[in-house]
Amino acid sequence: MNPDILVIYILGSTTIILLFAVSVVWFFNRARQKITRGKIEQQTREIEFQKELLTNTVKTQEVERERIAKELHDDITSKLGVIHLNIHLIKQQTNDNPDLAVITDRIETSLQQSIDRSRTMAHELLPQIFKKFGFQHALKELIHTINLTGVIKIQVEGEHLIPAADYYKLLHLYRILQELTQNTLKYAKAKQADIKFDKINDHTLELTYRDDGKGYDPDHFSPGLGISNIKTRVALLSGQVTFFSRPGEGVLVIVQIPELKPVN
Amino acid sequence: MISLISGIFTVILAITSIIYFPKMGRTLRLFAVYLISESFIEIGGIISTKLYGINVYLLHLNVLFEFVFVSLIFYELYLPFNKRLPIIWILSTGIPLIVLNTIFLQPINTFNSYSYTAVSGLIIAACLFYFHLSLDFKPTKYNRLIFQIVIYLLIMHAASLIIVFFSNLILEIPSVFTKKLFWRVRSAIQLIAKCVLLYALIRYFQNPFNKQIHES
Repeated sequence: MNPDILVIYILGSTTIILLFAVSVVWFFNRARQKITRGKIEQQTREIEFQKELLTNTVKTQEVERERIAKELHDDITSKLGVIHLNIHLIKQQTNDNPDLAVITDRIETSLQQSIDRSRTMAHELLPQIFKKFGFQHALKELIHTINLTGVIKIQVEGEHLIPAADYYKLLHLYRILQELTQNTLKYAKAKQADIKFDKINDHTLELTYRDDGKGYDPDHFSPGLGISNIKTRVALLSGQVTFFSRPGEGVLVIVQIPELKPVN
Repeated sequence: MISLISGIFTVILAITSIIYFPKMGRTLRLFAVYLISESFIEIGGIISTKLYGINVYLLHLNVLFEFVFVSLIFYELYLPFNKRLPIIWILSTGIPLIVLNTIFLQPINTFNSYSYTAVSGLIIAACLFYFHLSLDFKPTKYNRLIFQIVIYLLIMHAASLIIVFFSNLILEIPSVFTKKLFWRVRSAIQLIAKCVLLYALIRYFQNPFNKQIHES
């Protein structure tokens, strides 16, 4: 073969093969990026759908709670009240029958307990003060009710920083505080708890909850429904929650909510 | 000169592989051993040329090592895709064929262009098949490094394929400059591939979180 032709042939073929190799690499890289982007978009859509589903589920839950609270208050509590009145009338007729008096006393006591419990349940399901007067008043009432028990003293600071935001967002925040205080009352054996609200920037609210109870070991702790509920509500608020605790050192919970914007 | 620089970079790659060897998983260690064997061949080639004026016999050894190590590397690379290369069949067929080529067709003092071309062709095909398999693989840092290693193997052998196939014909060209031109072109392209690979290895292993535990 003519050496010049050989040179052209070899160098030309090598160039073609190299160009082919480079274009194959480029093509596969682009195809892979496209596939990855598609997967990310699909996952984002799925996450958005799950979030929407969760929001609607929680909203439905709240609506149902409201309905049950209303029925408890308007229907059952009032009917129990009527029964209580009738028992009181019967009691007045049993002065000369001590046995009957004892029975009516017991009925009256049980009825009164049922009425009180029914009212408490209705209030816990949806405090009317939240609906009528908003978050800050509802929070004050919650803390006041707990402090009245004498078991624990809770202090609140910075509640004026909470904007008049969307009803359900504030309801989530209220439920989070309800859950935190309930956990402290049920498990912590604490004497003192502090709730503090701070603004990190224009739209990010930080809630710090701390109690001086017995704490827990995070390595040997399985979160219950209450903590799952808190995490769900924080996720619905697009926020972040962190729990800190050690045995004997109480509990510290920090919640950051970025989208609590005031409603016009 | 360019061949010498390319040779130096082969040695640098080998040293880098030795440094990062403890952090590597199975696949990367195989590749590291491959780079180390390449560097020995490279150093041996330079010394042999200086002492005896010939180093063609080392190419016969190089092809054998390349075939064995690259087959094992691709065997490991295809496993995550549930593709098992019939490695024993491949090695037990390929090694005797390479040896028979050296004994009967292209003796040790000539270029083993047939076996080298066949091995290069197989490696190029294996690289292309890997790209096809890895189309929807997760874009982790480890997978990106593997992708870069496969590109390195592809470029190295794409640059060599035609030149090596015609290597015995090139020897017959009267002009020394023309003869050396091919090897210089090949060395220049391979040098670029080696620089890119070196950068990729250093960047990957400099991150303390990129350890062998990330290997899928």
